[in-house]
Amino acid sequence: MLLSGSKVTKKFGGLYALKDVDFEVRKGEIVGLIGPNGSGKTTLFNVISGIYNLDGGKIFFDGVDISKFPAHMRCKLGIGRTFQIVRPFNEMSLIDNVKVGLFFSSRRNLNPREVEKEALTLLEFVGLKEKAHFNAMDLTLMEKKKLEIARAMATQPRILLLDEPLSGLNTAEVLEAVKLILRIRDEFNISIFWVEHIMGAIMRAAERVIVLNNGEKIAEGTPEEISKDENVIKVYLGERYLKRGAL
Amino acid sequence: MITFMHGYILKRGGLSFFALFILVLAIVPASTSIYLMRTLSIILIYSILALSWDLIAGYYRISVLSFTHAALFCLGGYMSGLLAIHQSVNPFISSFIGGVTCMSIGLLLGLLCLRFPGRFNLYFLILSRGLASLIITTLINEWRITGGTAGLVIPNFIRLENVTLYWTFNYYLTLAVFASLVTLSIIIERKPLGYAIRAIYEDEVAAWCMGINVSMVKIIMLTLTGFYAGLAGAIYAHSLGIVGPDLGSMTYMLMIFFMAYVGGSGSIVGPILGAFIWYGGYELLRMLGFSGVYQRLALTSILLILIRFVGWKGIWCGLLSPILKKEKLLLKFTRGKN
Repeated sequence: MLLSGSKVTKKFGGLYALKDVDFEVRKGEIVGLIGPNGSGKTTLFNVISGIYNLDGGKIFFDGVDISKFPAHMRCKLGIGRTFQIVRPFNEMSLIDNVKVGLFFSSRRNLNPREVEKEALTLLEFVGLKEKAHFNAMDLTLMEKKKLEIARAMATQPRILLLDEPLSGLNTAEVLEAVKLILRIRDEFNISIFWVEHIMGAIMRAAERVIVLNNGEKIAEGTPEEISKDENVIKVYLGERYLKRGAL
Repeated sequence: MITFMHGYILKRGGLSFFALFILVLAIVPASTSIYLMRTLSIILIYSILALSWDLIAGYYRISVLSFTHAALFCLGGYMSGLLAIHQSVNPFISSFIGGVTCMSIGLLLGLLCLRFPGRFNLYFLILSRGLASLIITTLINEWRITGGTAGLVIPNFIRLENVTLYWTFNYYLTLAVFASLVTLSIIIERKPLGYAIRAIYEDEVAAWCMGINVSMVKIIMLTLTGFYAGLAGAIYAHSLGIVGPDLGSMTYMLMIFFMAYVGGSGSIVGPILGAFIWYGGYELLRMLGFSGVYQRLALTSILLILIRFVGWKGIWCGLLSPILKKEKLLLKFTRGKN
């Protein structure tokens, strides 16, 4: 078990953004997280990565209780994340963006030349090597999302939290991004926890899917089970999804 | 759209450029007039102030808008002076103690207020301004010890009958401290800490999630710059032989602000250039016959008109740096970000 949470609760005032959510991600697994807007998916990610403090429950990473750890400590332990609304360091070049991650990852004693080489390798992995010295603000959305992934990979994560990496991309780009995500898992053996609204992609790639609604977990299982679950169809997928049989 | 990176203009050849600059500063005033050396000493002190303030509050930095900087400058001078008067401490040692005092105040302030994430931390803003008032009011009210608004006459670094020699000594001492701060800023800019500062400026949450201890970086920088503010104050006070509470007033704080932003906030050259323009212009206007309050009014107006044309990036980052890098110059007549 790499990452797990028990009875994770987060309140904003009197409103429960997350209520007693249990989840687990095993080593080398791709877990999907779906649910309607406002169901607490991003809040769960913020709680896992340490941006919000928990109001109840516990989160374990590799057997260690990290509920009280600040975000930078969690990053050093091996939790990398990307953001739904991309947050590249706009006025820095791509290579510097990635270097920041390498400098502050858990690995020590990297000399500047190694860092440079490593950063280029990561940019090559996501396919941005030719643009290494561009400013991040000059990229397209797709490239920014790739940069986010490269930057998160630079922190040497053992689990990657991807917050809607496919939103706003066209069909061709979606296929490319899914391939990239699968490669991350296969080549680096990084577990992936993935929020997505594009069902086609997540149902194909994910091994397990967790469904949130109003801050509560309503279903968990393989994509096939989820797509037949009555509750999930009612609150999120809709009747037409079942009829269309799209999977 | 002009996209250039201020801090990174010095990436290549930055250190050698500054070595040359400091060499020029070291050679030029030797055996010239007392007036030139005195003026340059004050300019260098102001440069230290503006640069150290810009390192925390400037554009492309960690956005810790400190209003205590001038008060720390003042306190450093008083601390050092009082130790030298009452405990007969050697001024060199007492200056250092003055710096360390301000450093610990910076550390305390950081520990109290900078542990909360967020840009333009309002708590920090209020407390830093409050602390500045507290320091100055205490210095004025405890007149039995500090001499009140009249200030305090304190011993010089060394006793020299020859005034030229005396100012030569002060000038080189100031230059050494100035050079150390500039070197430190350049080193910081190239090390991981510099990358962390840039990342925090760009996006604090993203930086935090990439393993950067945001509060720690802010506290380190505040502590460091507090030390330089205190040290600059002590050197200023000892070389002039007098220290007064007006050094920590809002006027001085705004002057620091002005120098950093006129020169070009977010770079190393900018604040130094700002200090040269500010105090150099001040002295120039004195030669032209302006005096007293008119001197400052005229200077401020001229510089504000200049800023209107070069934009909020200042003279270095908005005008000189693009020219040097042969970029298209965009003089701004419209509002907004370029």
